[in-house]
Amino acid sequence: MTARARMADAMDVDSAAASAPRVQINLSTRDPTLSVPLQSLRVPTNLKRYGLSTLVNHLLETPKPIPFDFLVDGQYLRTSIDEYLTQAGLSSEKPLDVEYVRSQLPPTYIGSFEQDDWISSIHISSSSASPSILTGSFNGSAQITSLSGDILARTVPMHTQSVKAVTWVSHPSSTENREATFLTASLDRTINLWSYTPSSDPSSTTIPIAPRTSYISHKSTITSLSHSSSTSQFLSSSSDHTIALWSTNSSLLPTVPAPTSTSFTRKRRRTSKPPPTEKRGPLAVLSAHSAPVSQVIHAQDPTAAYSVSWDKSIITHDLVTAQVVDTRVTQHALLSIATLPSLNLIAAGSAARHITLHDPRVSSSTVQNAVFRGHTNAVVGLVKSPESDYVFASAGHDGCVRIWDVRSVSSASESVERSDKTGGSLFVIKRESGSGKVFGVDWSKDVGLVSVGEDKKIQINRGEGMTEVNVLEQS
Amino acid sequence: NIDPASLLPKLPSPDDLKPFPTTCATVYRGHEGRVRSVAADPTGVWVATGGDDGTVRVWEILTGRQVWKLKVSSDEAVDSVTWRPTPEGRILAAACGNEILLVVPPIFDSEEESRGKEILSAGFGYAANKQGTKEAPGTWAKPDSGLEEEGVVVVITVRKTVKYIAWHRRGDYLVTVSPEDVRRAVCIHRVSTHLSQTPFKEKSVTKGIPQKVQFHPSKPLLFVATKRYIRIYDLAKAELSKTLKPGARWISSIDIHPQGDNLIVGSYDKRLLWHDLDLSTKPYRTLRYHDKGIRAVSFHRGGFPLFCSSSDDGTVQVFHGRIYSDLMENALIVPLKVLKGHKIVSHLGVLDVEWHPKQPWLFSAGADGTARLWN
Ligand SMILES: [Mg+2]
Repeated sequence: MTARARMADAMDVDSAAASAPRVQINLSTRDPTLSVPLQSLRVPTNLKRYGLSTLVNHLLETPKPIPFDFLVDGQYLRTSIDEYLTQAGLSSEKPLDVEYVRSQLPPTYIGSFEQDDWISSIHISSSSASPSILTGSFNGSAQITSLSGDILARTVPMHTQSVKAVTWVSHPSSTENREATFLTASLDRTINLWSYTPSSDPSSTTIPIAPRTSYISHKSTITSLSHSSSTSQFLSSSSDHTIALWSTNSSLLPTVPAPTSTSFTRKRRRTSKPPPTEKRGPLAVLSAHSAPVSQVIHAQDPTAAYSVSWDKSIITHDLVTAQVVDTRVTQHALLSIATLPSLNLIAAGSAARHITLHDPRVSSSTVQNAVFRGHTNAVVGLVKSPESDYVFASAGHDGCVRIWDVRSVSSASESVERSDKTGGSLFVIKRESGSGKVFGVDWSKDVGLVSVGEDKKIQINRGEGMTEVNVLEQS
Repeated sequence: NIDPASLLPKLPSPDDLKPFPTTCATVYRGHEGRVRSVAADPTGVWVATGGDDGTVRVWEILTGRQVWKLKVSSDEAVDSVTWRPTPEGRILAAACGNEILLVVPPIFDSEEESRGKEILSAGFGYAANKQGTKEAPGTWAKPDSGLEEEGVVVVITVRKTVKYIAWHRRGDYLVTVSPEDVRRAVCIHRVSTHLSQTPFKEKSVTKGIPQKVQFHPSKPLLFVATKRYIRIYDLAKAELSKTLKPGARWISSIDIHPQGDNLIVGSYDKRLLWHDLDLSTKPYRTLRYHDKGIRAVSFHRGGFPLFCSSSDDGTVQVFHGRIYSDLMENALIVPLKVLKGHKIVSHLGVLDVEWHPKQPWLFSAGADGTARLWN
């Protein structure tokens, strides 16, 4: 079939549109696997998202239809083309640039698991055979929860204050009888390494886990952890303004004395004696920030890292030389960061309720590329979509997780100081419990979008079209 | 026929004066009864509160999580809490009844904790050599073992209930007000020597009931606000140097601009008054925006040209207040935002306000039992 005939065929899907006015559209996509042979065509102006999606599917000759969304001037088309033209004050005489993207499915509520205290942090294991969820609690413990809500393992009392960050080092696997390890970092200024062997018997009781190594450097609350399996190194950020670089191979780290106990730890220790651990110091301490460091993450190249701070800056560090590569100063205290590696972009969440995008490469001369508004309180967590290079989610102290599309930025929203709410999110996920701050979010292909917060709950949401796993199969 | 309004200088729009706080970001819940006082620690990571339930609490600023609580009294309120202004030592002063507690809250690392305890304990030996000063208005002592375990290092006992504490910028002196004590309402306490004294011998200078006190941010001056007047004492010469007459009926609160030449005064008669100390003993501006009496006023000390007032009308009002280096140019004052959220309970609203030391963020303490962060 020729392209022209295909187009005529496509037009037939909506024969009522035959007499409607038409507009020329120029179709484009950033996904090379989805490009169509004919990019410019005249369509009836009463077409909406569904009609345009059917049209693109016809042009692609897809065996199974792919739902598409359409971006015009950085905004999702939610009306007919005609209504859009009227609202934007445009004429149908002029061709319209239309970008099509795979539809991001609305994440529906799957379920939630309750713990006994506020939950600060979350990391989903990447093993798709038996995904499990590692969480850190304000009660000082960390817990591993299965997708059916069973508590598989829990740390013994070691941290004397809230756990603020958790990360898997080696992921658990139920098939091999292999040791899994993870790290916890706390308001009590210490980091601990824990290991355990997941039970092959799913009905067995919760495994108590003892720590192996304690990492001592920070003088104040530890705010985040980032682990790189390719270098076997990890990073921690702290309210003491520093970032510390560590290795999971203890023999590479200096031995340090245990910190002198404070009156608080002495009091706590009277009720529970902590197990002994080896105490290790850092490989390097990076002191480039001048205020609490909120988060540090490895770059795509794990010999580099990015950090954000209340001092408003985003700093790129070279971890080999422990030198600063680049500093970008924004307008507000920054609380969270994520990379969008294929786009060479960084997303940063601020105390001033918005998310900004930055190109961290030294060659980039702009401080900021775009701004996203919608949260009504601090943005404390960011995570890239496991399925789209352009989509990410954010956790807010306003009690919401929001999903954003980098492509959905209209020119009107590029100024930081504009008060209008353009460049909004695709979806808003509220707490099913109805209230409380969200403190952490993670997103995996197998489990979905998982968030934790003040409501003591692990809340799971998932797009309908995503890979099925048996979440909550037992209930 | 020129419109006279066109000759007035145009005030800038609040949009051009960002950043300033606009919304409530965190609610600190836990106090039973009114929260009387709120104080941000000099590093900007913690906030302390004191309240009618006789407790002092420390909170994690952004999450709103309480990290420490000390029950000081079962029948008296903690009326004032304030951190030693230097980042070294991490000392919190709290007033409860006729006692002033100097505490190192057990949330810091061991080095900081022991440094704070050292600073507070150094005077024990010194005071022992000074026995026999019966006239001293305050006695310094170790707390009982229960309080000591919680981090209290020193308790200063004075004769009457302490309503307000303020530190000197270097952290060696603090000044307290006990309005019920006719002769010794204002006391100065020196941490390094564990000695308390009344600053002035003359009776006439303490005329009127003192409400609030504050040290000048750089000069050896002490500001004492009574119901009607603010008296500025020269501590080096031990004499009264100036009396300000704000024209208010009952002053509740004062704060001195970090550069030292301007002062704001809050009054129970709803007025907020700005004094330029170089201009006159009368206020330069009178601001009437609150519906009920003003309880507290505060200047930002971390580089933002901001100040605020809190009131029994339940609101905090935020202003831009820019001072020019050109002495001929008067301060620019622009109302920016009314912050609403605290509930009025038994006719009481927002009892205290304080700015974050570095960020354009504000803390408030309410009669509704909550403290709040605004950003
Ligand atoms: Mg205060």
